[in-house]
Amino acid sequence: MAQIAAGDEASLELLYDRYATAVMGVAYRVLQNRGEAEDVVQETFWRAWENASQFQVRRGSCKNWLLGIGRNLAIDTLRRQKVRPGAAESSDMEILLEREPDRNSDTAAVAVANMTHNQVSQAMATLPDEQQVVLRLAYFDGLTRREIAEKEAVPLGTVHTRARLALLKLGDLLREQGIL
Amino acid sequence: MNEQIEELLPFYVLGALTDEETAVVEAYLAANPEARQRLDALAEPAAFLPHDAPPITLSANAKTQLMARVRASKVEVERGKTAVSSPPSPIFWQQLVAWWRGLGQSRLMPSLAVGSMALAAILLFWAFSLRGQMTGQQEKIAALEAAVINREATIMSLGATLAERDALVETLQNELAGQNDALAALNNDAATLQQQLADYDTVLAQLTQPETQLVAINSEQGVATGQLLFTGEGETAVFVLADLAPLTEAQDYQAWLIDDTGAHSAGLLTVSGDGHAILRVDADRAIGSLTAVGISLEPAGGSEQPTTVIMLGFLTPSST
Repeated sequence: MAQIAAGDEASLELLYDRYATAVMGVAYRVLQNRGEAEDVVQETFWRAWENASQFQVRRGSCKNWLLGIGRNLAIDTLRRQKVRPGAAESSDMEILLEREPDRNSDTAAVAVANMTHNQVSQAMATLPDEQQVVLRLAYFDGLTRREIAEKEAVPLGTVHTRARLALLKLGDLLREQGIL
Repeated sequence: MNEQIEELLPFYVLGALTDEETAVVEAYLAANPEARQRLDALAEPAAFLPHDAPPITLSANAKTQLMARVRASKVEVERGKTAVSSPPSPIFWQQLVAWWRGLGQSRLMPSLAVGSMALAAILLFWAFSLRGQMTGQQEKIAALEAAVINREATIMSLGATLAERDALVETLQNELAGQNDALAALNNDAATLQQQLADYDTVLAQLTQPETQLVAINSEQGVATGQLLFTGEGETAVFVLADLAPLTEAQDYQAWLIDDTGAHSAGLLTVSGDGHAILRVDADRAIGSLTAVGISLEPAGGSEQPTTVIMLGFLTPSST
């Protein structure tokens, strides 16, 4: 990140090749639209380029920093769409046909990302359904705790309990798998 | 420990709090270091939630666009640096120093110094004024850009609505065209049925006359059968034919009245889908004076004289 902060383009490319697929995964999961998700990825790495000097190792890994930026940008886009529905719809099939896949991705990094995804999704599947739902609605759908309570038709306190238990249980499971 | 704020911690790490709630939590964390440890226990697993989504390969175009944007920004920054820090050439610098030293020895120096300070003050004021104007212009530009974006969104939305309307109109037009075709077909059927009804009325009228006679009209080769209904002294007759073979578009069946002078056309037959035909003939002579009647197969529109006779019926002497 220090090299990126110093204006080294090659380091930014390396960072992109390593983590773009993971950021894309999150953005697509939130937006369900490939074109918009790619825009979010591009903006994420642009912000990393612009703000690399603000990155602090003690506050988390570079990967988590990027994923956090990407997730927040995607949620912002989703909320704008809710305010202005239908403004940015596009056909995923058209975009898939138009765009050539990037063959320069860091193969090893993509393999690690796939492995991590498998471990995390397995751990998530172990949680009770209602706890999984709370985590996903909050993280991927950007719903507030009150919106979740309304959507799930349960008291606010129940949503609080489910979120806390889910995170603690997820932490235990990830520790068992040795990835936390 | 504040239970109400502690309940917000899971949603803080999930990024699902409102701005106000986030501010409350951050103030609480700043004042309670032990709460930070409880937060970390939730934040660590939450950091893995993005991996619940499967990684997805991007298009090559996405990276190209990003790097083009980065390079463009670097060029812009370099231009800015050059404009600000470009040093004057050594010769120019030496000339400037020599001029300044010469000026220092001049008697005009005090008044020049006062004048320079006044000029500097004016320039400073002008610079602030320009900066203020520039900020105002930038705000206006930003507002205009936002307005343009809104207009574009509205146009896109209207375009989508218009396209939906056009599609609906096209669908309705297609349905209408289909219904018109069906209506035309029904009208044709109705006309045919009306014609058949009129023909049957003609036959019925002929049959109800007491002196009505029947003459068989026999097929020369095919399976068609027929009758001629007439009264001996009357000049009106009706051909009733059945099992006529279907015609091509280039063919017609033609009826003939035959006497000693030759064959005289009695008109073309209109054949129904099931091979029936009825033809009323108003002759210029008594039907009983004829020697025979016939049906021929002719080119479309009929002929002056019969070319291919397919049915014949003889009137004399048995039929009169």
